[in-house]
Amino acid sequence: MTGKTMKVLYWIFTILFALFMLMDAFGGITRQQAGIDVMQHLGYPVYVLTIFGGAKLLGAVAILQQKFYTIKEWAYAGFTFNFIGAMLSRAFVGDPVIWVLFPLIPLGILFISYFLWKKIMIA
Amino acid sequence: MKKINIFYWICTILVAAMMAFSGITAVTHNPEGTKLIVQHLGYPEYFNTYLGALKIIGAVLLVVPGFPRLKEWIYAGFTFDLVSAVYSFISVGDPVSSWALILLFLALLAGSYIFYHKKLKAGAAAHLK
Repeated sequence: MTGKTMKVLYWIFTILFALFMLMDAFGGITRQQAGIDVMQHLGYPVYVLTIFGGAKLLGAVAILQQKFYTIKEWAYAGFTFNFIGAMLSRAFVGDPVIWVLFPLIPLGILFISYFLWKKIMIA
Repeated sequence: MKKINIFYWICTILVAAMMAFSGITAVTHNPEGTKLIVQHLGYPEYFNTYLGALKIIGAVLLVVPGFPRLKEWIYAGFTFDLVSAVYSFISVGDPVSSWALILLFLALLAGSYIFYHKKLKAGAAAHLK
């Protein structure tokens, strides 16, 4: 893969991921019913929507910016913990396997973005 | 370098001990801890359990040598955990006194992190000489 292809792919995956997270954050912060339903189903207090929403908003901005390396690294870490937590929560409440495994999709997109970022950094 | 090492280990041991203690309390379903996290803050019991397990893993990896990327992620995770804890206490309407101690833990974590990076830098510089 040439450096240019890598850069283009990096931006496609990163922007796609960030957009999804921004939408999710918006839904959480504005307390959309769908989000409240999920939290109640999983047994979390509704105020976590603000924690997760706020964190996702900051995280999306953090992975889009290119200036602060550590903040970006921490955002990738935070998103990873978030999806692992989501999978564990789905498993613990006994949801169907499809729901338990679903967070692997955003996690996969996140990892592709992460590894391409590291490759571009070295190049 | 010696000073950096001492400060690093004081902060890091305290952070790791606090996280390990909190983790053990959670995975063993200590009644006081469960009352606080589940009944008071409203989190599901399974969350307390798996978060506790993650805290123990994080505490161990923080004190063993190596794993620089994992350590960076653990510092991130512990920070998110403690900040979220403060927000949770505020959300249920607790007074400052009930969560002020978490600020001290955050300060220790920051101290450990800062000295960890100073140590890494000093180590790299010594290597170049």
